[in-house]
Amino acid sequence: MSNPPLLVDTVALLMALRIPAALLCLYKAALSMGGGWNASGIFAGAFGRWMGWAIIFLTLPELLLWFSGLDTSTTQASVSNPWLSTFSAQLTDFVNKLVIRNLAIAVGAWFLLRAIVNLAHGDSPIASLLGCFALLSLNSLYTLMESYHQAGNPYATADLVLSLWQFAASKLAPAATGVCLMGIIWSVAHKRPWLHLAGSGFAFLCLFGLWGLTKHYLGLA
Amino acid sequence: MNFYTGVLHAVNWAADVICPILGVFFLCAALYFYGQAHSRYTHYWYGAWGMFLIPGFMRLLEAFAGKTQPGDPDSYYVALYSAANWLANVILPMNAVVQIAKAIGAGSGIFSRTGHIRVWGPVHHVFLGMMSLCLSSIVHLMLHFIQAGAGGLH
Repeated sequence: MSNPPLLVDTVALLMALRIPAALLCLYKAALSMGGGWNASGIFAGAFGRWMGWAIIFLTLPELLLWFSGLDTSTTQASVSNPWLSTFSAQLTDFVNKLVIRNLAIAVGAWFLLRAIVNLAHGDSPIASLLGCFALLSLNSLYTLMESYHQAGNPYATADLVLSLWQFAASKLAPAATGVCLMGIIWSVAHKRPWLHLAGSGFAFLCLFGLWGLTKHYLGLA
Repeated sequence: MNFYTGVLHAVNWAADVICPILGVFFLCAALYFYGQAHSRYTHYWYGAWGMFLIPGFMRLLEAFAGKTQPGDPDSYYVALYSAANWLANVILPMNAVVQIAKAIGAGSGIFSRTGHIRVWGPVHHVFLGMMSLCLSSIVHLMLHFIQAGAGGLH
């Protein structure tokens, strides 16, 4: 028995809109990243939630593979109705051109201003700066996630989360060590405690080792 | 535009351009406070050196952390252990030399900013210099005492 065309078109439209939805979630994640008061607060709350949704939208076809016992053939279909097809194309265009390429950059400029206001208040500007960078590089972040996305692999969602962690641990953590070093020198010059910065600086450089140690403790190595 | 490149450029700019300028500010502050007889100035002095040496410190941390394979569970311990070794066997002997120079300065009074010379000043610096040279032995002595006492009193 064939499925009703309305249902097939609705499902196909939703599947076509998962990419703009993932981009919008990335945009919201970048906003949440910049909205935090310090760098450690980034990983809790809204940022993690929006990144999670972005990853789910991106890997939706692979998640559906787990339900292949049910008939999910409608998710493979393309939109047959011309009006719905045009709507899908134009909504994708709207998100790509307005939100990601223009609006995100304009909002990023505001986060730069927020970083300076943070500094003026004596707060850390790191969260605002990271939010600014993330908003300015949404396209490349999406391309990065796409490069980690293994199409056709039922474990693509978990692999993508782990790949993003490896990206953060191998590329961003050494830069964080540099920030820690600057913080140490600044603290020494102002007679403030700095040992926590030294400890975390080493930890940023040894993240893979600490991850290995944690897995070893839990018998996962 | 790439997130990683953006972050890297920002950190490099801060470390290579802004920090040396801050170092100059700290040097100015150190010199100014050295002229005030009762003001501390050494934290600015060390801060200035640190600001100029940030790239070197980064390479040092990388060298400590790079002694093991990246996924080695011992990497954090080995990095901290290497840092402790470096402090005890490289920096403290240098500190001993500085303390000897300070002992001479304290005895002669040429570094005194108040005109007041402490009678035991040179001895204090000589003692610190010797302790700096003997730290490894002191640690071994402490471990010996702990090991000897581990069996309890007889």
